[in-house]
Amino acid sequence: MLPIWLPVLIFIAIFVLIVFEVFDKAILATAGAILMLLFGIINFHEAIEAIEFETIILLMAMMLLVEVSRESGIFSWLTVKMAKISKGSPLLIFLLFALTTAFISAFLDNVTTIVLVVPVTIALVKGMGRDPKPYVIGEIIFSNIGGAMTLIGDPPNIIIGGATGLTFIQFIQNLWIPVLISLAVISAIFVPLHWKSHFKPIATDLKKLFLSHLLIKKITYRFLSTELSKTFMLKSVVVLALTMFAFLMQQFFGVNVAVIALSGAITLLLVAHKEVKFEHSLQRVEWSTLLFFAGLFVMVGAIEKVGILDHISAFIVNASGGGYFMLLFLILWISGFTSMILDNIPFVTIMVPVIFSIQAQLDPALNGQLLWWALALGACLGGNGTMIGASANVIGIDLAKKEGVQVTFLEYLKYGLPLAVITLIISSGYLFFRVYI
Amino acid sequence: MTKSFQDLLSQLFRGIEIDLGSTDLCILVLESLLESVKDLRGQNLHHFFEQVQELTRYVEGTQPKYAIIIDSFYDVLKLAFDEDMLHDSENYPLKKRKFLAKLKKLIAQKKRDKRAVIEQSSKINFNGKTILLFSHSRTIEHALLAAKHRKEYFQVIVAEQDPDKTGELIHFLHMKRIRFRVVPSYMVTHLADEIDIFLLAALTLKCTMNFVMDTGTDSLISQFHLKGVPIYVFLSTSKFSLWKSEKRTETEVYKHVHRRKHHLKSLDFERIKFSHDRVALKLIDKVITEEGIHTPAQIEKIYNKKLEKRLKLEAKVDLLN
Repeated sequence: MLPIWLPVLIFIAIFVLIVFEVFDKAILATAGAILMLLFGIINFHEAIEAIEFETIILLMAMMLLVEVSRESGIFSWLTVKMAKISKGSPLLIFLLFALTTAFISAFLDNVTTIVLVVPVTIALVKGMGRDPKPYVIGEIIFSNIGGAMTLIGDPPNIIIGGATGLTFIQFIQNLWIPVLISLAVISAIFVPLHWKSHFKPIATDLKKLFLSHLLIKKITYRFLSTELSKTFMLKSVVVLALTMFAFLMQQFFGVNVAVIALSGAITLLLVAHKEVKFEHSLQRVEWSTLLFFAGLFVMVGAIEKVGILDHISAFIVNASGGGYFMLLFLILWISGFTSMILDNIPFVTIMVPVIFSIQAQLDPALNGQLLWWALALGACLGGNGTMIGASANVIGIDLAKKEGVQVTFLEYLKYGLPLAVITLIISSGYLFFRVYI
Repeated sequence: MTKSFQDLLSQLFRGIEIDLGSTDLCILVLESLLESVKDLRGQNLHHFFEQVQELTRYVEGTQPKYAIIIDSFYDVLKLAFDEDMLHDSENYPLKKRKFLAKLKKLIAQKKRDKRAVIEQSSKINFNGKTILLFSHSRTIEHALLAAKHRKEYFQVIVAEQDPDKTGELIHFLHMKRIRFRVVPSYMVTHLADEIDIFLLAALTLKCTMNFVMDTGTDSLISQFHLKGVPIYVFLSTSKFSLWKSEKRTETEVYKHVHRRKHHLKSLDFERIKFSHDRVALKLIDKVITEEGIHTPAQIEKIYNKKLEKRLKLEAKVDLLN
């Protein structure tokens, strides 16, 4: 009989070290996996079986697809185009950038979207003599909300999709309502809140219009300094569009999402072989992130083997008092608050077997899928609560700092926490609606 | 706004000038004005005219001053003034359209002027020559490219200055496959015997008959003037500073003084940086403008004529206020 406390102790120790960033998280997760193997908690074959290769391949393929497309300059072109469309109007800058960020984040990864959008926003807004903080924070928040809508939008969803076999279209069908309502409600809060200080129209002031137009021209040459290849851009757009189409049609094709993403990435590499170097593109894949995921899967596999996760699921079911909505509510809010302070990737990884276990205990007449949507919404939307809640937050704030815009933890919290709570309330309402109506 | 509009404008102009040079900056400024006027809403003719005047004042007040932009804004003001005063029976939307049409023509003219300076440079034979470059100027870059297209074979020596500016110049020469070597500007004297011609660009020519040029230019020009190397400056006449120079104060942006730590030893010291040099016109051999290639004496005459014309226009505009 395996001691229950040992894998738990290893997992908690590794988790704490990850939280405090003592070492690189990929090394820590791998070290945790090795410890599980060395102590004989899990054997080598079980460890390999525990790794969700579907998730790892999906992540790798999406990273390749996005990196190669990014090299074509299509995203920079799109960002500059948005700046031009805004004609310098602060309200349009906010809405266009934030909503486009949300949309792109749904189909690409949040970090890439933030890396593309934040520098342009800061150059534009700071150049106009305004404080770019609300714009940057808004984009980060919208990015996390947008990412919650699809299977590939945010790592928690990728993990859930990989583990459950839920399709791309099922994610959209079940998550678009709370996501769109959240975007609308947050826009409706953000705009009046900053109307006087930020979003007042400038169309009657020639000097402000002039400054904005000149800034847009500067941004155009600065961010599109390299000559863009129209052919390369076209290839990227076509392959991206075909991949998204295949994701949407996944259930008709009967092909795994990871296979679709990998096909897209390889197709783009083949058709754009003249424009990109394969080795260079491979270097841009975040191998350490993939290693982190693999290590986590092994650690969670070990914990699952000793049966501790069954106890956790039983605890959650008991705490809900038998009511299904209360159970969903608990999963949503626990995931939400945990994601605000901890990395949501290990949390969701460990929650996947817990949810499976809860599903096994459920009355078959109930819609068990809702548990996954509660987990996805909680993990993705909760990440907005604090500056460290999601990768997009950390990267966005770092980028802002590099551009001379210092956002403190409390400044972020002032926006992030209430807005995250609002989106979790909206999600609770949505789940209530799904259970009872 | 956290910074004043004046500071924001100065900062923006300076940033674009470093990247693209003052001629392209001027064209961008005029194009931005065109788009701004197109987007301007809810005005009457009088208010519109007032706003153009206000913007002109801000443009005149930037630090450093950009003569080429100020000159263009006087042209703009003239357009606004004509529409406002001479045809006051016409309605505002129609006048705005007319103003925009004229502004478009003005932008086209500025672009032609830029090309004209490059075309004038075709009178110089670069074939077989070693050319020294120091300034980062789009006009010089295009003049050299035009010479290359004319099948003139030459090579370039780049004397290093501000890393951004030299970097841009090197990038251009590399992309256009023009043969070049790079030398720190304080070591260029070792290559002086190889150099046949020194090409430079200026930000402006002041009423004191001094050019405003990149820092470090004055010492290089003095050195090559003594060695008898022909020195050519590219400068369109619209870049002349058609106003009286004021005496400098310590607070001006031209001089930056800050404390700095030694990178190896534990001592800190005062470091002074200047943004521009003033170089006497008389040290130059020829000035290439859109009108032709001129001697310093000819340039002085052209300058004085233009100044006289500007003062008349200023008086006319002042009378209306």
